[in-house]
Amino acid sequence: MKDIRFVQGNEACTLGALYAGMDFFAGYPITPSSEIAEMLSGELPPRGHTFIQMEDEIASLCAVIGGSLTGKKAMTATSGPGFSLMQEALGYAVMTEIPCVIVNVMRGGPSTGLPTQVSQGDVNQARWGIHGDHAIITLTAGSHQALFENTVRAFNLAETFRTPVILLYDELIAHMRERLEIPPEGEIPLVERLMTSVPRDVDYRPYLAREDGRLPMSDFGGAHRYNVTGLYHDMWGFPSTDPSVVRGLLSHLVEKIEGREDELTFTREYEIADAETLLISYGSAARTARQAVYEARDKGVRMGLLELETLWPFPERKVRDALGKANETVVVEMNLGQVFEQVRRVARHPERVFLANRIDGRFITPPDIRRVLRIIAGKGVWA
Amino acid sequence: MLKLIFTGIGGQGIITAGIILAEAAVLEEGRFATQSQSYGAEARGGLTRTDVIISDREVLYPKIEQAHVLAALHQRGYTAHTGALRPGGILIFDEEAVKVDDKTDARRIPMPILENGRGANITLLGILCALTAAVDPEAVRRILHRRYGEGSENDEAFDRGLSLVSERGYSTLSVGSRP
Repeated sequence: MKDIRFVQGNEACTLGALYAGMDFFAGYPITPSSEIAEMLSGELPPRGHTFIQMEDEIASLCAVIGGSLTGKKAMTATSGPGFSLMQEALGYAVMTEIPCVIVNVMRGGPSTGLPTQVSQGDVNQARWGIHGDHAIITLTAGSHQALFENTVRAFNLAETFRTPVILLYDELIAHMRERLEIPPEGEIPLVERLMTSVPRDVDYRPYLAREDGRLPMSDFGGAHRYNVTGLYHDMWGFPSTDPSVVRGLLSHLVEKIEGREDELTFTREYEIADAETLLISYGSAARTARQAVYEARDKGVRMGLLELETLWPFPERKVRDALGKANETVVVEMNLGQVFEQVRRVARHPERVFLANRIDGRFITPPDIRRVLRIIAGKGVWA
Repeated sequence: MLKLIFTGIGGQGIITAGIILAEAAVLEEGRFATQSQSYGAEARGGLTRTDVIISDREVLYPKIEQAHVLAALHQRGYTAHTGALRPGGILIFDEEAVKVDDKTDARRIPMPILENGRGANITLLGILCALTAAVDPEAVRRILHRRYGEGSENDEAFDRGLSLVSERGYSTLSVGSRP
């Protein structure tokens, strides 16, 4: 019998994390992500797993990093203000290659902003909130089913690539309720921690990659003693300023992610094959965009949607392929054009890329998109 | 596709009623539904509104600009959201708490809802089921039993809503539109 639920997006994320085997959560509740911590405070302890309400978001991500190093599948959840506080530890997790999942349920910003309203303003913060050259994986979702699947996927990618993964979605998805079908156990394959085969008391090098680029781990405090540092480090984890070590580590950190667009970028296509007008969107805004596509198709207008579920690394090839077929492209998002800029960057004809957006805390509507299309068509809009 | 807005003030159980109705459509009838809410900073006493869309297809855009049904349990909710009711739509309201102005273009259904006390939100669900056939009453009842157990005061409140519709001489109205 199918396991069908009627849940909020935050519950869909939580259920996805539990499905993925998450057994360590440390966080500090903040609207609009609080339901995740609330639900996990009830779900984890009875299973013998760890839920910690920390004193703040800085401590939350530090605890998650520690938990992961000892072998746990670890996650935290927050919103923009907390995500800002997490940037230092996020950089540390990138540098030390600690698998973990950071959920950022976006609200309006900057600062405490609009706690209870919708925004997609943290796209660039997810990419560049931390200092220094680096690469990062960021997934998003526009439905509860996709959110569940991408939460599981976030844990799988974190383990595969030994990296923090950011799951970025918005208040509308977080608080809205809709149908969710939980797949049977085993239907979505899970990636478990790759453990070292080096025996106890034998020299274990935590940052020595295998031929396939993956780095086997050893539970911290277990069989091996090793060093973990945010400084540039050698294969033993000890600090180094040797130029070849520095260059080697940075290129490893970037190339393990940037070089794998096909494995890391996920998109959905709707009515795209013969589309003359292409919409590109993500998260809850993609629901509005898809609605606009179906309404246009009912009137015989050839419109299609490319929905992005990976924001970083940016799906350059998939976006460029989709752009090539359309006369004009409209990026639909609730910020001042953060993904729009990326689409323009990869477009052969950036002058044919336009933005339909909303920045007032209200959910973007199909008429918001149609107004931009009328302007593109030279028809003007009625005041 | 059927679009319903429930509005009132915090503590009246408006949001819960919206969740139960949508849950019955999804879990008991195998249909699609979304439930969303405007979410103020107040915990109690603030204006509340929930949007429920029930459809035989996946619901993409979950907000409502033109509702088929507006149910108001407080004057402030009626005043704030009556503009979201489509012309000629169904307006269910508490006959004591809400005064409807003459300009409102709607089928008016005044009902003694709030006199049912803590069960008022569930009485509203009974009225809705009998009046609009939005969701099978037995589907809602199964959700009530799952949430609150059989024989709770909610069963009584729900039956009261169902019988109010025939007592007041209304028959089932045809509402909603093709998706």
